[in-house]
Amino acid sequence: MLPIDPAELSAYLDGELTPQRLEEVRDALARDQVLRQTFDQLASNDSAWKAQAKTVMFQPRVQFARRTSFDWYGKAAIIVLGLLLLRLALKTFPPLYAVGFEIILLAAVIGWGLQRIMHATDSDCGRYARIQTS
Amino acid sequence: MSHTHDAGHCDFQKRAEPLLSQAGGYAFSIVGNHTDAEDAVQESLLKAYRAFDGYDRCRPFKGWWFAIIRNCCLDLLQQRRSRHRTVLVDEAHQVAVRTAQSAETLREALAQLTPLLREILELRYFGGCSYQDMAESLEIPVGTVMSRLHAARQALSTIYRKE
Repeated sequence: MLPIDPAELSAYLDGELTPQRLEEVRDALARDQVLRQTFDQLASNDSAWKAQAKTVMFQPRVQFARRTSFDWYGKAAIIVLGLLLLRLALKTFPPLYAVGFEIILLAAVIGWGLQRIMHATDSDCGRYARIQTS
Repeated sequence: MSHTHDAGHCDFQKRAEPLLSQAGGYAFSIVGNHTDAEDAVQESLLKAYRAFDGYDRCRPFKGWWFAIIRNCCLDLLQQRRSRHRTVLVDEAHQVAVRTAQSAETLREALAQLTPLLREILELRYFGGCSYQDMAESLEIPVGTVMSRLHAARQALSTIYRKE
């Protein structure tokens, strides 16, 4: 049997050891008085901290987001509306024909940027986590 | 398509709803009051829901979501530092704050630890996370979770002994 690493006492306390290792630690605790005392102290602290932390558990009043069919129908409607408005603007102000392509390009870039900002991706979340742990 | 969205929505809510109370406690451990904790959990729900399509269902949901909660809490703390904010607490929450006095002692002790040790204890005690959840949330192997958690407990008990 491998010697018991002190960190394994924590894992034993948390019920996170493999069944085989759990048996080995249990046997060692039964045999070794010093190890037992260390474990008892760990368990006593753990239960006190758990009790303290439990006092702030509360049910947050939150609302779950509801995604609607706006995602697809809405996007299509916005594109059609945008094209109609553009056509109307070009008919009303013919000089705009000269910059029509630039307007479409600019609108596409702005739309893409907004889409990126409003829809955080999974990898974005991972990146945040790495920043705050470093 | 709307069926897929509805199924995704149900799946998300089914996973998140049972964890709300632990999410609240975890957020509280970082921001220190119920109002901000509630805001952070709400914000994290929106972010997590938006990212849920890209979330790998094989990974522990709790660890993934709690990493987002942590980021929302840190953002909130940064905003709070940049502008003085009046925190409005209603009567029900004031009662909750009074009952949280003992947790405040724990938070003060945790504040004396290094960020690496503090965050793992917050996940364990306030968030009730398993080793797998913590590994996912902190992006470290489970073996590192075990050794870091033990080191954190040792450091915390040393602080308590001094006090």
